[in-house]
Amino acid sequence: MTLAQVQVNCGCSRADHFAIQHWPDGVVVYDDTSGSLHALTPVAGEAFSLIQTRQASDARSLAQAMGLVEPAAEELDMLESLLVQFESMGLIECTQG
Amino acid sequence: MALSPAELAHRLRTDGVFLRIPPFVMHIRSPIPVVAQGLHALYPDHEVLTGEDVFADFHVTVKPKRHLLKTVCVFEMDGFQPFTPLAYGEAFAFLEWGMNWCVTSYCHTWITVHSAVLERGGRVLILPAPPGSGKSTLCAALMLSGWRLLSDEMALLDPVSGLVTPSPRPVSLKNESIEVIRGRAPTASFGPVARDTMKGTVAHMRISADSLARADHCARPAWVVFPQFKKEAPLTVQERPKPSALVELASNSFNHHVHGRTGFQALAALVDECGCHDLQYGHLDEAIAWFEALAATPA
Repeated sequence: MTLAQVQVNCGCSRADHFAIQHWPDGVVVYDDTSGSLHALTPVAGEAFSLIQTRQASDARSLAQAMGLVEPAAEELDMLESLLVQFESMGLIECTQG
Repeated sequence: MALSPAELAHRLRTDGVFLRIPPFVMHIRSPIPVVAQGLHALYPDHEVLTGEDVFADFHVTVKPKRHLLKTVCVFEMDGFQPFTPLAYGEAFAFLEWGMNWCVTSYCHTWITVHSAVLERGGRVLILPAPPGSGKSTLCAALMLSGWRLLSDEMALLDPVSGLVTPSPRPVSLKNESIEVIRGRAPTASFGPVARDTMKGTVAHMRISADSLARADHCARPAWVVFPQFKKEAPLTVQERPKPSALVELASNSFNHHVHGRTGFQALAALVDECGCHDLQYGHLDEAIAWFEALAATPA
């Protein structure tokens, strides 16, 4: 069962704790709390910024906010995978239901 | 240093020597002859401060410790011994490593990054790299080619101004690099050779007069180059993506976490303003030629 099927809601409760440096070839996220750095691809950086600023909260709303009019299942899977990775990195929190 | 070898050795054995090693003053004491030999060979132009009110940033001592079957040496800062003892013959190298430790452990005014740092035409080159990457060999060869040495060991980055503060001290060379650099500069001064250290054979090379004379001149970083020596390999250079450069620069920093977000932003600004490259080299002359061409590019 994928995140989309179980209706997850993702957010960034520590949005103010992250500083982001943007470049065309990727972004680096700095976590004030742990002092850790995370290098993200341009797409991942865009997705994280949208979650951080509450413009999206799941794969489908991410796709929409990123301008994907009719996202393919594969694209939604990739965005779901990104959310899982963000959560494992401690950048966001996801809840079901 | 206007002290004779005998006078220097006497002072080191007794009250110690206050040596101005920009931007610091080190109060050094040691009864071990090789320490005096090393300081006399490698710090001849550094200023010895005298007077009762001289302030020292660090008070360091390298002294012998007798065991039943051998004598070792210990490093102390303010009476604290942060390291396990080393072989007696490593006393001078121990002093150099200990002084590095003092700076990286206590000087948090700057963001310190493990790297060699040089300057040409007002632009600073930062060479962050792990041991064995050929960083110090490259650093020594660049200094011999006319680049100003800011440090062989660490960049002292001011997080507010973005400038690098010089801290020019002898270049630490290891193993084959010692003869490689001796071959390029037969008249260069070297300090005592320490053999069988945990890094192999170690010797320090005296810095150029220009590097010391301009030690108070801070400068702005222009390039971050990650060097990697691979024997006989042809020279290859690739642009390093900025996100990767920032993460690696931070991983080479001793204390960016102490500065928190300000430290991150300072390193990010440095990477943003610098050209970032990966350089693999197998021949010093090829690498030096590439750096000369880099320095010749318009600012």
